[in-house]
Amino acid sequence: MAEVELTQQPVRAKAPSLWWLACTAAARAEATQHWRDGRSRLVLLISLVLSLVAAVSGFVDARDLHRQRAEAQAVEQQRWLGQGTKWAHSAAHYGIYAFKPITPLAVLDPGIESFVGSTVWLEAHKQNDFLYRPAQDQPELLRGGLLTPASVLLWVAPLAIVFLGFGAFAADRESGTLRLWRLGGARPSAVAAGRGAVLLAVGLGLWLPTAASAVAATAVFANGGGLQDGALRFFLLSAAAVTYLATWVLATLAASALCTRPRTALGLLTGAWVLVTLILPRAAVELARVAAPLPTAQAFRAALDTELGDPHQLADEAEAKQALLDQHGVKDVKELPVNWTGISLQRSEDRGNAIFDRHFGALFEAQARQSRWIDVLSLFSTPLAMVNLSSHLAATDLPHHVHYLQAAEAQRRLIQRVLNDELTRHPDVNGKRHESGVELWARIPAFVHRVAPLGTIEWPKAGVASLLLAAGAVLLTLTLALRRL
Amino acid sequence: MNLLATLIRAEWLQLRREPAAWALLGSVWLVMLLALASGTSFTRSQQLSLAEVQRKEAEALQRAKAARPRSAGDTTGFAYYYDPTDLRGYAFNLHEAYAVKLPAPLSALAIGDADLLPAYQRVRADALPAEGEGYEHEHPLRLALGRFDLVFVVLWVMPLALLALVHPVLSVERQSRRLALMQLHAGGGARLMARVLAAGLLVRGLLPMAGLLALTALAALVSQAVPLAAALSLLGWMGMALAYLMFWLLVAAAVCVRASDPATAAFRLFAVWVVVAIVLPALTATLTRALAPTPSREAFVAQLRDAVDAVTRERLRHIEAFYNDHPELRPPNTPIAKLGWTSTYLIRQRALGKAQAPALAHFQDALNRQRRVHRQLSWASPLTLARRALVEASGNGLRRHEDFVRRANAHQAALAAWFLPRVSSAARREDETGCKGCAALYRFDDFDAVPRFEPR
Repeated sequence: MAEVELTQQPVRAKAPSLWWLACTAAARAEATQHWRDGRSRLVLLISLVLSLVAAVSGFVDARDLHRQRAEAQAVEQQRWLGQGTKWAHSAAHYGIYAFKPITPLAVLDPGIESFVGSTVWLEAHKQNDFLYRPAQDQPELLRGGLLTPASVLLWVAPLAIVFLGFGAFAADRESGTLRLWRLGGARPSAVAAGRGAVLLAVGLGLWLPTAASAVAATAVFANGGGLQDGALRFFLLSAAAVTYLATWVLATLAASALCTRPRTALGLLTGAWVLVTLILPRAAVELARVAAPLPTAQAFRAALDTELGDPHQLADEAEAKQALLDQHGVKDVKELPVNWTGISLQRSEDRGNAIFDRHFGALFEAQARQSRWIDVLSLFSTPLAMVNLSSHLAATDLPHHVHYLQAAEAQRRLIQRVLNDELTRHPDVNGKRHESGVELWARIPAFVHRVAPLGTIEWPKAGVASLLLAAGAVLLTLTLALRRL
Repeated sequence: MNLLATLIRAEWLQLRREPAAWALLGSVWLVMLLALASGTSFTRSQQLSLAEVQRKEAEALQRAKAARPRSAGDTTGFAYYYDPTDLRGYAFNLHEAYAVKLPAPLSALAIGDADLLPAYQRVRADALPAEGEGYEHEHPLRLALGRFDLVFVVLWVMPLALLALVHPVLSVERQSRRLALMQLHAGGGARLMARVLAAGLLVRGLLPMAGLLALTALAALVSQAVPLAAALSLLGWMGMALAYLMFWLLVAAAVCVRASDPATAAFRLFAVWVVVAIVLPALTATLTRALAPTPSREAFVAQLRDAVDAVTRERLRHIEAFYNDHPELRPPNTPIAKLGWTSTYLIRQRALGKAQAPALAHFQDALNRQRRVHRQLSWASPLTLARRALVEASGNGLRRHEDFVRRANAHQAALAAWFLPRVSSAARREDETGCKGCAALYRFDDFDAVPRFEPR
């Protein structure tokens, strides 16, 4: 009988731990309190409205811009093919415009897109500057606080977290309820986890419309907008966003746990928000400019123009021509089986390209140095680190722009080489230049840009470290603060 | 009046005993000085850039004057292009002149939109709109984040400091029930409350903010960030900044009157700051874009290219039309189709300018409409209004830039009108004499007579 009793003991479900019970109870209580509190509802409503407005307008803007640039590029390609019959070098000067495409992740973070030129004229002899910065057309709107999904993540979500969470522990301490739940056996870490989960949910809820608009953009943009690793970028961006929001949640809880009064916690948090979000990023960029200055536009242009000189006259032109004449055993260029003009033009292009590479290379390197300084200084400002990381993952930062610039320049050089080779193969006949048509223009492939895959161009390493360090630091601070409760 | 004076004195004594308040004011002033230094640095670099451009213009003029004309009978091909004493060479290539927008006296106070809008453009006889020039090499992230200048501090940071100082006014008395006690002694609720509020806002809000602005103005004059001659304008600018801060004082008054305790007052005030500083400007800008979208630069480029193609196709018609309007300039012997490139270059460029004008006008109209809509909607956003006022007063706003562009474009048209008949006359003489490419016919040395842009 005893044996049967021993083997027939009922199976009991494992009871949830006290920690977990306290955590879920705190989360439920926090959520209920915010829902009942008119102030909290107002904060949530305003934040959500801003988030939705930013997501929708970001999606519409990016979609429209993508379509406009794709259409413009197609029109330019048709214009290039339909330019009729002409001397190849005339076509080289006619040129073709390249319009920088927008990636779908620009919905999440437009980065520097509005502050760099969007269009470049690919023509003979010149590596032109990019034209038409969108910011020059709407400076008051952009500087006046136009909302983007990135600014919702960087500014609005942290503010909402601060507003909702500043009294998490300080209010309990002030009202005396802190002792009550301690007496009830609830551990501070459990309460912090529960309340923190609610705050993080609020932050993520504000970010969700943005994420959804990016997914929608990926579906709408043709060819994925040139992104080869869009899914990976989106995943990493999401992870960075979660880490960033979690850092603010932890910081809010830590401040609330450290301060004896809610008002002090609010003051501390808003001061910190102003400092790390508004002041430090600007100050860091100014400091980077001083540490790694860029050449002035005038100095750059003067040095470039001096070295370029006259594109149609080369110092060693006569020597090269004579060598070619000797090679073919003739005395005049008109007797050559090839067109000296084509050879001369390509020599001029090659010389110019080497000069452009030197000068623009130095400029890009100077910009990269400044970018590295900004990256290092972002160790002191998590929002700045997030700006850098977010725009890098969205392919809207400076290294990605330079990559496009270099791809456009490579296309320009390809165009000149094809045209000059054609010219070289067809000497003038009876003083008449050879004219080419669509067969030649079509030989040049249309310019299609593929965004550089992640890891192949410089990325903000210090920014990643800043994000993780900040999260670690506030977690440690919270842990220590909770022990004092 | 005695009661008000007593209250003011009490507030002052209380404020004196708050080291945190003085630390806050000291920090804000430090931030203001750094912002002033940043604005000054930008203005100085802009001045250097413009001085460089003007130096290049002067050197080009000196080189032209110093150049010796090539021989009278020289008919070589490309030589004219590099000869400043050849009217064609000077007009098409070697005339180097710039329209510059000099920094205004108060530029150091607000960088505004100056880093996004070019401060100079090259002006040419071929009268096509200049693009891509006048921009400095800047890290685009610096442009994207916005500038750390005094306007930034006045608009975003000072209101926060102000609200941090004034949020306990009245609410502390209400929470500690001192207000009720004072009302018992003083007799009369609303008047006493008004005096307590006025004293608090004056001592904790208006005077510190005015003091900070005054000290910063003094620093600006002493450091010559703002010239002494512009002291009155500086006073006006600081007055506008103070008016903006007075708006915040009124907001604080409205909140503190009803707040039951300082924590509630602080929460509400910061919420209002978020709405005024972030939400309203963002919604204003977004609504502006929705009602008046930014015109498409891509479509604009396509229209410009269409105009180039059209003028190229119809070039003979355009040249004919020009000579019909100016029969005194028509070459007598050579048919239009056989005229040389240099004879008709400026005529074709003029035709191109006319063909592209509708696209330019259409684009500018769309931009102007957007800016009008934004100005109208800005009345709902105090921060946007204040920013515009302060930036325009500093001389780095959109209005002054639009005026500069208009003047630069007018000057380009004047240059084209000056060179075109002279080149065409010389081409006519070339045709009359039958001496193709003869240098003497295009001899030019009247460099000082060429119209110059007057910067202001």
